[in-house]
Amino acid sequence: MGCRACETACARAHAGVEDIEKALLEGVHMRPRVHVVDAEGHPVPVQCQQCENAPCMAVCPSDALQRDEEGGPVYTVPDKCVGCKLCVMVCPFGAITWDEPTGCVIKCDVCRDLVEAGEAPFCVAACPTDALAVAQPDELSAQKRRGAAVQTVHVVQAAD
Amino acid sequence: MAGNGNRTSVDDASQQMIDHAAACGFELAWDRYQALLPQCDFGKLGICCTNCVLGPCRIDPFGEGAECGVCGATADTIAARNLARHVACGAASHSDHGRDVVRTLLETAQGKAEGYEIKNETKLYALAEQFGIETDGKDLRQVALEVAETALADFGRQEGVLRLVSRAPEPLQKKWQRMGVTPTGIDADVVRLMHATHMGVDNDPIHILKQVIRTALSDGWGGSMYATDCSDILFGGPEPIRSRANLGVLRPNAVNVVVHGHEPTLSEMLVAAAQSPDIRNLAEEAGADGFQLAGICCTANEILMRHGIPIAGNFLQQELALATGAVDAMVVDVQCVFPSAVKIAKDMSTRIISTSKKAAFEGVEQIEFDEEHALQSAKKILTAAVEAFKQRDPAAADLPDSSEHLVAGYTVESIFSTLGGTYRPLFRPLNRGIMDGRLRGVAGVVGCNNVKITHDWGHVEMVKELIRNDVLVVQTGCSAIACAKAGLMRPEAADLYAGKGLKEICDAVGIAPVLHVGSCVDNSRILLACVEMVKEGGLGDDLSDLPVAGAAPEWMSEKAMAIATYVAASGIFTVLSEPFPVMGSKAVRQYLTEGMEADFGGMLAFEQDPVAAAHLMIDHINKKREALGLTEMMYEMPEPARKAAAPAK
Ligand code: SF4
Ligand code: SF4
Repeated sequence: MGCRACETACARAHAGVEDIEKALLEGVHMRPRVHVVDAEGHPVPVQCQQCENAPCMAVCPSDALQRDEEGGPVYTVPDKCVGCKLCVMVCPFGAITWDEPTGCVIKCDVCRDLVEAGEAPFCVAACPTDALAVAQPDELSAQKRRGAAVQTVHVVQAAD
Repeated sequence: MAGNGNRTSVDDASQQMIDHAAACGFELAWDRYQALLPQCDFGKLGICCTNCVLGPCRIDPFGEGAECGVCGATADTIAARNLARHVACGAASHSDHGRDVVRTLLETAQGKAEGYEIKNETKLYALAEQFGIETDGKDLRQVALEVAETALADFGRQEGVLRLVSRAPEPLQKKWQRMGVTPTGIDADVVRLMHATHMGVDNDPIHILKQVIRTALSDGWGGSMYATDCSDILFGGPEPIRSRANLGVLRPNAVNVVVHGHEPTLSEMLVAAAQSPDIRNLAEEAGADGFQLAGICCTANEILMRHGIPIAGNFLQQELALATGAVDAMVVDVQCVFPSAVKIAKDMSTRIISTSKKAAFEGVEQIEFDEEHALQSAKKILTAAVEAFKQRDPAAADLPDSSEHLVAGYTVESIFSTLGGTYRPLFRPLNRGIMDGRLRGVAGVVGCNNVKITHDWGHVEMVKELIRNDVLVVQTGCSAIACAKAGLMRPEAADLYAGKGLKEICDAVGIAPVLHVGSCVDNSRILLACVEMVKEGGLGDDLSDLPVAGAAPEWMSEKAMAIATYVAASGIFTVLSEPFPVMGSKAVRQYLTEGMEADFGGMLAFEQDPVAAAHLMIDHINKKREALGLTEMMYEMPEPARKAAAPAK
């Protein structure tokens, strides 16, 4: 819908802020890791795809981008970031942002603490139209296969 | 939700009805709020502009996306313009209410308003004198006619200065002149402010805020003040009066009529009609033990102040009153009436009756009230209530039996009448108490309820903390109702909750530590009480010198935004729970919370924790005491509790 609720929820969550008005009153630094982008009239939320073969991790000279397990979320280790911005250049989605005030890059980590605890990331919880979801590739494929099959059956039935 | 407790309301009767509503499957405001989460942050921050269809334009609050709208308006311009529209609406609401009271006065003077009379000649003549109207040899009606016409002219005034501005202390009037914010005409100031917010008109945030202040002042020192003055003239000046408050005032076997809304013209007439023999007979024939009138929101405060009619509840209790199933008619007019009332009442015998020409509800019966046939309209409404009573299923009703005693009816004229004598010198005990250090100062605690903070918790916690610290509290609106229900408006409250110095004053004067001074338009009474304190002497030359502060600990409405703005621009520090929806603009929030002080002597602060907010007020009062060179407080300040405890289940 383009409401950008995911953006503000993301920015608040990563700053540990519940009350955005109060945070701005106190000058708390907040920035989102997800961006709603206009794609020829359609709002599309863009964020890190957690690539299996993550180019950002590969290019980082100081090991500031890490993941705990294969396929797990890629997160930043701010202390290690030297600010070369190579990851910003190589990310195919523009999902990594240079954050001047903190002097390191920021990116989506799918709110890994929450997901580990079995909860939805903040952006997903905030989306009023359920346009965002967390999915594992296997489940997603299975779901899509089922959907496509049902669709095909319907088409065939309609043609009968 | 602030409060963090597991209760929705700290008021037992309310909590009981909230639980009852849940059991019955009635949807309440709190449920709808949960369903709406998360609410839009752009809206909260005031940086979404829909003033033209080049937009909606939303400014990125994190400084990486759009910095201005299509037209080039920045976050500062947009937030200031949004605030302007809110304040224009708030001021318009008070002032349109005021206009109707003035018009009723006019029609009464012309002999056209059935059933009304002029009850307070003293106040009429005082206003005539202020207006420079010659009264010698004129009869009462003629004087009332000229006063009403003069007042009405202030609503339509196109140039010059609003008449009641001359009531403000000279230094304050000078500040307003210097800043170019002296109100002109009540309607014109609202229209000009709306014009300023059209795309591509006023772009400088501070300049917009000055226009906002002018319009707010023309509410506080205009529309609202006229509403209070003319209500007093028509319906009588309130005197201290005992009554009760909370849902328990409704009676299982009476025809329960709840008046909800704001304008006093109709409710006054309902009070009269309920006493007429024909209508009383109707109720008796239906097997009822008479009528029980009770109020919600400011209509409640108006008829409480003048007739001692009990209060059923405040803003967030409107649905709870209906959920009791024991309300036969809810008579509504304007402002703060939930459209959802219709939905709850649909399954019950309760009839919602809309009475204002200005407001209609889909699916609600309209018995339009007109001043010319006021008594007839009122009788028609009560007859409908009797019909509903006959349909009521007593088994389905669940009525909490709790209600609390209170004393209301304090005004500038009556505030110390318990001491005897004429009114001016009677501000002396108040000023003396402050100068001697018995009283720290005075606080006005006003405003609504808000689903974002535990119901009544903000009001009650803040007021208890203030009186504990020897601050006398005056209240209006739904805030007054909250504290009345909590027992803070009984004289005994001084023993239970007040600091030692305040208790001594309460005992000497025979008042409670928390005084009910009326409805939301009666915040003008608080301004005038401050003017009297300045005139009495010893506490400086301007309102901004006084050791006083204001607060709205559970506010929600645009009217509250207008009030907070005019109170701060009159020199009084004011703390609000929810921030104004302008936090996305640094320039706007800085001007409101800091810049205003240099220009007007008063400013705003935003703090959700009611006890922390009370201490912002106390610190400010102490600062003013120091500036005045007043003596130390007579009694030690109690251990500070700077954060409120969460309400327990
Ligand atoms: S900017 Fe930081 S995280 Fe990115 S490649 Fe350079 S060092 Fe690594
Ligand atoms: S007035 Fe300006 S900021 Fe507002 S919607 Fe129009 S173009 Fe956008």
